[in-house]
Amino acid sequence: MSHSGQPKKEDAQKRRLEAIAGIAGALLTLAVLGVLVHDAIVHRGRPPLIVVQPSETHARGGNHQVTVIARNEGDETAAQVVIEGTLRKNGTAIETVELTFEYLSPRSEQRGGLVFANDPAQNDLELRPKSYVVP
Amino acid sequence: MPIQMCAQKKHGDARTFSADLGRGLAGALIFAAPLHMTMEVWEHGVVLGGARMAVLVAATLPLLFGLSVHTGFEPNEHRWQDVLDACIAFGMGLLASALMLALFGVLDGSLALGGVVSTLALSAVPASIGAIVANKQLGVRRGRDHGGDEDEHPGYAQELFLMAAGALYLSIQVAPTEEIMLIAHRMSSWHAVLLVLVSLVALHVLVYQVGFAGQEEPPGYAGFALTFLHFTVAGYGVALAIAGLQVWAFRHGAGASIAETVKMSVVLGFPASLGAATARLLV
Repeated sequence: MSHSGQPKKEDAQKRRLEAIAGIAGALLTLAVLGVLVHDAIVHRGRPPLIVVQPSETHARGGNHQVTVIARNEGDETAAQVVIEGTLRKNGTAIETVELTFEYLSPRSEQRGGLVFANDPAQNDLELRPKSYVVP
Repeated sequence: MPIQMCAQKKHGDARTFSADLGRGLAGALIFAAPLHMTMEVWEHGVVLGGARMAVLVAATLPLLFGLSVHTGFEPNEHRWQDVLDACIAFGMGLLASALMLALFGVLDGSLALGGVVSTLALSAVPASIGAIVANKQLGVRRGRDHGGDEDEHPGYAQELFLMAAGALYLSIQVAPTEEIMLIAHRMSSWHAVLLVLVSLVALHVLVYQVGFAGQEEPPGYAGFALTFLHFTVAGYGVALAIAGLQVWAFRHGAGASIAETVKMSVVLGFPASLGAATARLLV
């Protein structure tokens, strides 16, 4: 910190630090711009496309929890994404529950849980995206 | 130094100590008021869990130490005094947060202990920055009897450090909120590219052009391009890194694609750049 010392040596050190920080900042900024420009060119405004699949099921306290993974394969963000899960026995719906994901951004996935009173293993489980809004 | 008590000073007495603590607490209350009144802060404390909070706190303590070293009026003679000042500032931040959140009915016994600790630690980040700079902003200048020159012209490393402190201070006020995700979702990638350029220009103009207190003179030996690279681009890199750390810490990027996460960092990088540019005003 003291500038009285060997000014030349400190100057050289300062220049080196400036160069390192400047180049690091430039690389980070260029990387960010690169990702954004690539994203802008490759992905153009297809509406949200929501795909849901069940992951695992746990029996808890008399209920059956199904973990679901929702993925947005479109290019726009979907908000308030409602996923509906229906259990069918011999084609007849016996139980319907739903959950809402607040945001599902493009090419991202979110996890949530559906809680059924009936056992999904004994019935047919049907998952489908029901609705969304564009934020 | 903001909080002098810990250090045995020749002109430090019990009254100065309690006055310093009082200013520290006032600074903590003022700087953290926006966060104390933000819903996501209460929730994030609960949701984020130990590891991310630990990283946030671990990043804050050295920052407080650095602020104690570089912003004080009375230089501490020993580094351990700065360490102590940093710890006291964080304690003041925790205290101010506990007081306000209890008063607002947020800490009402429905939270588990871990949730309470996380919520307090999160709001203590800006609060403790407030505590440590309070004496500079609110206190009476006592004068420095030596080393005045370094105060006027901090070295380059200090310059970068102050930018990081300013970036964290301003951006953490909005970082926990859902709006960071919402804004990123509303922006196209081209909007985000534009925001990068606007942030860079704002950073450069605020540091070198508009004439705020503490404005920098472009160093004489460097032309525009070098000044822009060494200070503005480097500072934006610091701001982006601070923003990215928070996007991670607050789980905004959980499940999101790389492009979306980058967009959120750019969004949060804007207040971070403004904070970095005006850090010299703050401390």
